[in-house]
Amino acid sequence: MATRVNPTRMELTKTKKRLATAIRGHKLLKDKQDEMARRFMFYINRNRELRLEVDKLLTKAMQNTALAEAQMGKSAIFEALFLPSASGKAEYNTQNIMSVIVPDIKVLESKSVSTLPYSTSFTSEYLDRATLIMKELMPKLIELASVEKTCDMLADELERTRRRVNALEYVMIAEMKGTIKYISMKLEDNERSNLTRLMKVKDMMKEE
Amino acid sequence: MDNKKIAAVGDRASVIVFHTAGVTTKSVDSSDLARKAVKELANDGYNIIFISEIYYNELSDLIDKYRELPYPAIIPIPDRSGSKGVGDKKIIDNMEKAIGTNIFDK
Repeated sequence: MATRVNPTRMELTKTKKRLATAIRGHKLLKDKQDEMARRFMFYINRNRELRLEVDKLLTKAMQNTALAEAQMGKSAIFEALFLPSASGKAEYNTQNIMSVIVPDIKVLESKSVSTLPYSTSFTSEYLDRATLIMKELMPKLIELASVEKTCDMLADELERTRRRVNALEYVMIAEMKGTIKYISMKLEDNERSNLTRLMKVKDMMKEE
Repeated sequence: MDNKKIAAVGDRASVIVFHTAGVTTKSVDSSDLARKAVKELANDGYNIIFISEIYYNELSDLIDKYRELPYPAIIPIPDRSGSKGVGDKKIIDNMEKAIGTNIFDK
């Protein structure tokens, strides 16, 4: 139900102006929400693909490293992995998606020459496997980080926008429409009573 | 920009593999240590912090602090016993938050 206001013409004009603004705002926000949802769907699908792949391969790499460690010992494995084979070189920027600032990470092509950064004579075969998996996985891990963070931020913003859209649509706009109806009815009522009074006065003057 | 911007936090056996990729690793064995490590890394300007799933849930209050910022991106990773579905759950949570329902198949 509309809040009680003074049923004056001034109030009516003011409320009508506010309603027009609210409707425009609602339309804009609704458009923003739709576009953000479209972008979000793209990112969340990519997120899901990457997550499946990364979970599988990373576990495999870790298991292989564990087996290698069992064969070679802690210090030997540490020595072998002293030099990185795959490089996680990337460019860290931000991009603006519907006024949400999200990370934008570009993986740079690594120019590593050798496939394995250690001599294979004293190392376990499992370590080779783990290293090769990681080399392949690193760009995906970086992309996953970028995409997942983007999804997090977009989801938060989408939730906020949805609430705003709903608040405008079901609370503010509905309330203002009610107020306008109330004021115009009240004004019409006043008009009628005024008219009746005038007629009555006219009759009384005629009788005199 | 170099790979010094990426770090991994988790138990030793799980993060050692990140050495091959030249990622900074912090091996921790309790959630308190993990919390300290993540705080330090975030303050040092690391852009991506991979963290073991088990600690990801325990540190959710700290991670929420960085949620509004584009960096650091704190990403859960499985440990060597395999994924416990924290990453998948995160995707579904985001989905429900954004769209209002999960439209992926369970």
